[in-house]
Amino acid sequence: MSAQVARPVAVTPAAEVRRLSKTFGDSKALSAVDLTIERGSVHALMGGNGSGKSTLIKCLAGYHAADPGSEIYVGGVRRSNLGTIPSVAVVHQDLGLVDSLSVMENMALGGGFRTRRLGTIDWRKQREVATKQLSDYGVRVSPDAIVGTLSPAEKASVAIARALLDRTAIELLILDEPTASLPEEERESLLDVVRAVADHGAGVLYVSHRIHEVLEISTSVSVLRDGRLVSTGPRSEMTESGLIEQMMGRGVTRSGRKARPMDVAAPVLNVNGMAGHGVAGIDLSIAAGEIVAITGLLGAGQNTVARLVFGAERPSAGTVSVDARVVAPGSPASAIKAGIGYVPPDRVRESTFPGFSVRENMTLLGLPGFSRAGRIVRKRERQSAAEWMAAYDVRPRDPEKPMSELSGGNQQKAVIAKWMEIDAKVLILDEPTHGVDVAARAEIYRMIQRAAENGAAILLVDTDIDELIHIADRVIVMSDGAVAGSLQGESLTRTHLLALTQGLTSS
Amino acid sequence: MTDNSLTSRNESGPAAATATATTGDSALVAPALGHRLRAAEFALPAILLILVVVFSVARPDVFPTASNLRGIVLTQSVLAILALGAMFPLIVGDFDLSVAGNLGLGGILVTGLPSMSNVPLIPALIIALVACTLVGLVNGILVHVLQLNAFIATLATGLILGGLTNWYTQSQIIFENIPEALPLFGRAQLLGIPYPVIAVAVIAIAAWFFLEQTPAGRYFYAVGGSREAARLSGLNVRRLGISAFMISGLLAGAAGVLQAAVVGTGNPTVGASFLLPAFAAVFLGATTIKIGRFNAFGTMIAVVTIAVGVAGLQLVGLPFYIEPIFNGGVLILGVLAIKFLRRSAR
Repeated sequence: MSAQVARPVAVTPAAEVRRLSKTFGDSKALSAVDLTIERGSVHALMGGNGSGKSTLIKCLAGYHAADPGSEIYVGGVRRSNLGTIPSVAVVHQDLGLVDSLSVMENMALGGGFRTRRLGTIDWRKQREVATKQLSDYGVRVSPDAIVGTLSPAEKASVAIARALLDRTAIELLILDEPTASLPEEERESLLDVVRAVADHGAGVLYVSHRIHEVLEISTSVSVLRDGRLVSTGPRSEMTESGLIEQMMGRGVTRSGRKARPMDVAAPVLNVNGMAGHGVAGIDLSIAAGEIVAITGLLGAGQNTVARLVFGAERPSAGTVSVDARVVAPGSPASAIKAGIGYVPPDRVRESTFPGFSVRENMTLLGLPGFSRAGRIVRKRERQSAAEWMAAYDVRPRDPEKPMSELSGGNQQKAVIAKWMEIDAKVLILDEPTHGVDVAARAEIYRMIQRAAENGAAILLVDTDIDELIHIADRVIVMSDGAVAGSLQGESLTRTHLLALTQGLTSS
Repeated sequence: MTDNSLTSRNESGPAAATATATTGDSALVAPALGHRLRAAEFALPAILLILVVVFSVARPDVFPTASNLRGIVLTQSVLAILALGAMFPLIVGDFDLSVAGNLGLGGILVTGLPSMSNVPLIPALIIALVACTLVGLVNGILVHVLQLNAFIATLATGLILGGLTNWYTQSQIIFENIPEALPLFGRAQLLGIPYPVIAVAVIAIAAWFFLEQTPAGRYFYAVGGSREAARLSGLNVRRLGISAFMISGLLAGAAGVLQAAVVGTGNPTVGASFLLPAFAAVFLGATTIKIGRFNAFGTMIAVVTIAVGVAGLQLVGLPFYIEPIFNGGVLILGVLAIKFLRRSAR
């Protein structure tokens, strides 16, 4: 805390950033952002993926050092660049609670246990502290409840109460998408807690991409896009369509996509009446060479559709058929046998084998094909892996390198290539460019197009509307587990897609 | 702590871009720092060689003689097979603590059935191996169908086996009416090599071939690497997991039969002393040949290294209790060395 200089301001805001920039290598994550968060306000910060939201939070929290020339004030005091300070509390989306412990114990983990003289825990005191803190912020949860049994909203409330425990000088509470996956009715109780925090005099920075929720709770709204502040102002001046327009930007048009031959009359993939795990009534057919995208807000069910079609999850109803042949439900093995490939969103957990070399990762699916008389022919394996790595620029070009040592983008290219290696007839990709750098992203979309040109039916789950417009022949928009609409051909424009999204958010 | 949790956030934007950009073009060429790690693969064989040389120089009259070396490998043949068996569930990601009890079961069935029930040796041998494999099946069902924790489930089945073997033998060592052929096999040699050692070699080569050269072996490693990724790659995780336990059971039974053959008796409590050394050998084996991966030849080298080390140290006059101390020490050193070499190789 070396550089703390008092500022003479009449009513000091809770927090203020001036000309905040942050550069990573060659790219600017934030460019000269000015933002003021007043005391007692709930200030919503909105923006899509890669807009710079999380970089801004990290600068405020002291996790990233802002570029020289940037100024951050908390409670009128200039904040030094790095390190946590007691006046700023952050509740991250994953909350950091221990499910197997009680609410009281979780709160103690944040603030330290109250102990008696011999170092034993003073449970009576502990309970008093927890109970008071919970009631102060209107969290209606028993201190003895086991956190794992609470609803998501209750958990988030507990995390907020814990973050504010023992903070006498709290100025700013940052909530990083605390309600990312909450049902409407649960949201209300959490929002009450957030309002209570603001009523205590702190400023709340509420990071979210859910327009409905933001309009409901916030007193002011700021929108970031591509690292710049697009707009900031009181909630009363904001409209739903205006916010969407600001978040998405405009001016990108559908351009220069190679026409692919496709026989829509005889689709490769047919999905009829698929339901289960929160989605229902999904009908879908994709022709060879066709790229169909599913999009929607987070948790609208598009990821579930991908898992159900592949059989990663067992559907409660509906059928999947490939080339008019029904695939056994709920079995990835059957799906693969029928020619369906699946690139899951979570590379680390679901699609790569970290101890395996790139070669072993890429050849696993077609291993019998690399064998002679039951014995794997390593030379064939290596040759095939090397060819695919060259074709899609997987770096470093060393098939024997452990997969875990590759960057995310290169891992993803290898994962997609392994499905192309076995000539999947249907390729389902769930957020294939998530957490991937710009160059790899372009390469991945190129791979998808190449697969389609080679006759695969592509089902792409993606939230990047601009990319979808570029690559997809047809876009299906989902909302609350059902199909809200479908756009293709002439009607597949940014304006129409936005309109459908707007219809979504106001419903 | 909430601030710290920011570190885990997946930055999808520019940070990720620069992270890969820095490893961009230069990364096209495979970095030349792999050779140190490659050297590490042969650290344990090198230690083995050094031990042999040192002890040969120290006790040239006793250590490098054929009968001494034969004795060393013979005493470790049971451990070697048990370790190979325990390796399979470990590859898939499961502990099988029942191998010790299962070894006891194999030993007392192959001796007890002929001794107490007049069953001929060959049927007794088959029954012993089948019974031990079925124990593996039970373990597999408990872990991969009923989804119990493998460590706990096999601890329990191991305890039960210990009780059942003591019940069957009334806690007595079986030494009467054992068919001649059994101890004969334990003593016999082919071209100066004891039969049990040949048995170990055959099993080790078979395990190596299966794990390294066949698709099924690769699938075992895949399941151990990531169960969810394996499932989503269409592998039958349940079947592979159960198979690993059955192989473990079969080999534990074979180790028990061999133990009975070498000693010439059926001892219900003999398994326990093999349990921890077997696991130590598997873990130490993962520090050589294929680093970080449980592998058959690595396990064999580990068994022999420990055996030579212990035998040599006893020959130069150190007492018997040096064995477990040596085992533990080598294991810690081996794992530490790999960790260190890996870090400096990056």
